[in-house]
Amino acid sequence: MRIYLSLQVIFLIALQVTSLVVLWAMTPLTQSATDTFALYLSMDLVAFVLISYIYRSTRMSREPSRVWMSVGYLALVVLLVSNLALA
Amino acid sequence: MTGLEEKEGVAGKVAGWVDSRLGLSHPLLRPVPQYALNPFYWLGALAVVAFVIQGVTGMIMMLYYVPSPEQAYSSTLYIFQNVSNGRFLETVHLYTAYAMIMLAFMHMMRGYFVSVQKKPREVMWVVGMLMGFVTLGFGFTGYLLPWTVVSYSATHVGVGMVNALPQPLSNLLNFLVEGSSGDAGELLRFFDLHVVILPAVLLVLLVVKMYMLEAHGVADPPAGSTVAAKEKTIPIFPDVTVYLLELSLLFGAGMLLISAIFPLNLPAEYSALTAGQATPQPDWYFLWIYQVLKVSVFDVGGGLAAALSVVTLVFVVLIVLPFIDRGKARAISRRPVYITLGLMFVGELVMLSYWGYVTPGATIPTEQAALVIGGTALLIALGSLAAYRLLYWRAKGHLETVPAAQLPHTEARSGLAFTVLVAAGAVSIGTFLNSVIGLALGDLSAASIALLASSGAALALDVLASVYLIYRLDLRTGGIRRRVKALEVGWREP
Amino acid sequence: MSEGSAGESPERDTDESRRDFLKIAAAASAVLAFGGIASVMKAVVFPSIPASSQLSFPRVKVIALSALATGIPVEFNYPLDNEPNYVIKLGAKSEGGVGPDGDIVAFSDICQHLGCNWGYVPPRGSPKVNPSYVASGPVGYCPCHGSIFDLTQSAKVVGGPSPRPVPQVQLEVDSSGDIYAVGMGPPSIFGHNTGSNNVADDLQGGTLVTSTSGTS
Repeated sequence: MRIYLSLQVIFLIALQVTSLVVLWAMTPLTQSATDTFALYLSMDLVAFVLISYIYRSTRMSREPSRVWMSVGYLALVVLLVSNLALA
Repeated sequence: MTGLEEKEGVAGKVAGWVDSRLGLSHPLLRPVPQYALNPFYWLGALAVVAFVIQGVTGMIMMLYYVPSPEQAYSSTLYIFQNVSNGRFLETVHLYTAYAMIMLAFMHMMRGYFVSVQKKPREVMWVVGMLMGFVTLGFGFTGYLLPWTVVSYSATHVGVGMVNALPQPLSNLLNFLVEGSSGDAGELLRFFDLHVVILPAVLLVLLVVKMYMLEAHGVADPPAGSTVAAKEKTIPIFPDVTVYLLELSLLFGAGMLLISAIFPLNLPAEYSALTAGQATPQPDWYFLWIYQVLKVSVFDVGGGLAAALSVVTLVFVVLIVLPFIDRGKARAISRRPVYITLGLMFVGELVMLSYWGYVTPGATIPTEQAALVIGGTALLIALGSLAAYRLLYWRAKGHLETVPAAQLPHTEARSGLAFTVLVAAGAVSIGTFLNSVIGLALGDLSAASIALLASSGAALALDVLASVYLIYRLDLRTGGIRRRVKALEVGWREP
Repeated sequence: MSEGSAGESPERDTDESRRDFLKIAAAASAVLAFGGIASVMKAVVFPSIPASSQLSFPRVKVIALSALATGIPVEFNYPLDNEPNYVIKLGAKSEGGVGPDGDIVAFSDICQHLGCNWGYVPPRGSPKVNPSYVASGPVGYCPCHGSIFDLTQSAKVVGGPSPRPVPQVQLEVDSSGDIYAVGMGPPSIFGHNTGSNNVADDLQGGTLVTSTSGTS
């Protein structure tokens, strides 16, 4: 599980970097562009929440709860899918 | 923690440099007990986060907004149409304002139900109430700024009421909101209040409250905590900071998404004639006050002052609450009266707000108001006391325990009885709510009152029967009491 | 934290490096998160004016040519469902008129002075509130303060206190003889940033109509 944790963290950071690049490159002028902007920013923030949750749990020598991790990933998937549905 | 500079590795060195320059791990704030890493303990912090979001979005909009009656609407419209993400900013600002008020209210009610306002935190409660009033003031002053039909008429109802308040409150508020002359002066006053004066007051109160929080620490869970629980503490940096960041960014992401999914449309501009056609309705957080004012008993001369005195009394009671409720008990199980009163308060607020929303501009006959307000209070009181009886108060004497062989039979029978009771309960709740709403919308005929009474009686009977059934079940198996004990303790074993 | 206990050395090392990794990762993640939030500022600090406004005027059928009689105004809502307008067959060729005789015009029914609803007065007719005034051509007469709009000249103000003409609805007739409303001319409708010449302001403040049926 702990190896997978590091992999997950790397994946989440990659997601954040992607979102950041998109966010700074965009100039949202229409409502749908603003929607996309909001979705990417939310993905960025949720990825951070997941990483910080892993960090905090590790510091307290606890496994991050599977339930909350799954909720977080589910949220990311929903956001990603909405993004694709919008485009 | 301490001595980070000695750590090995690149991370350690960088962290050590940052820490030694910024003093991040210097013990300024006391560590937090582990049971406090629970979102319910951070509702107030989230309200502050909402305030920060308001500040940021507000400052951006302030660059474009002009607080004069001629240009208020057009400058707001400019933000909507010509500023990149302008409509999004406005939407975020409004929804986060609603979130801030809701969070502050939830923070207050959680504090009340967990009774944090007992010694030594009474002054914290008073300061918190003042912060709540400032927050409502933000909503009130901000609402006028776009100068739309709805905002102007609603605000003027409110300003008109200021004159009917008891002195010296009336003089003070009049001085604050009426500016040099007419609309222009008033708009400028509202703008100054919203953008400078109220934020400054809020920040001062926040500093005072944070100082007291440092002095007293996080309140124990209501059932009391053992020394061991208190000693399991988490340092502010980095753990609690990271936790706060998590909560805040999750909250921010939520506000972003809601604002993207439900973007705002600006209502029409205010003008003397179009305003006459719209019924003034305050924003949702003032609807309960407005509903009280609409009761016909206040329709006489001096009635407005009487109604406002009632509302003021509610606020005064809230402020001095720690000095009314002097009991030492903090556990929920030992404060039935105050918990019931708290539930009644929340229930009445929600009911009055909804009622106000569905009856814009209508006068409410006094008998109807008495029925609905009294009925809600009675229902909630009954429900709460029934829950107490079920969960906490021991029966005198007990039933024989069912022998193990018979347990499946007993459970099947009880299950059947329970299903029947739930079905009957659903029907009677539906009928009862229907007749309550019918009453609230003005149908005061004998038939509807009879329906209300009979469905209410059926519902009450059903509730009592269900409670008794569960009670008997619980006495035999003890399941509910065992599980509920865990709720009171407030922290998990690591 | 708990360092220096007599544990196996290699496991301690991987633990330490893992914690270090997580620490860097968490810090980097925080920076990325705030960077994302900062991008909102970028959109504001370097604003760009949107190329076109987000809403556009709907195209709705007002009435059929055959249903419109000369001199009888028909009321309809456009572009929002709370904005009354009149469409009238004036009987004389007019500015902005459509139809085979070029005499079908439509205007916002809200006076630009203080927002009252004005009424139609036919040639040689008089408004009920002011029998002493006799119209020389088809006009709109506002009963509140007596503003008079010449409907053959795009509601030019020919009397009374109104500071501007009422906005004209842009009409089109299609091949099957139906009259459509497709836009509004300046100024903006009263109550929508009153006095502005930006017709996009007419689209804010209510729900756009999707279809309309004429009512007399």
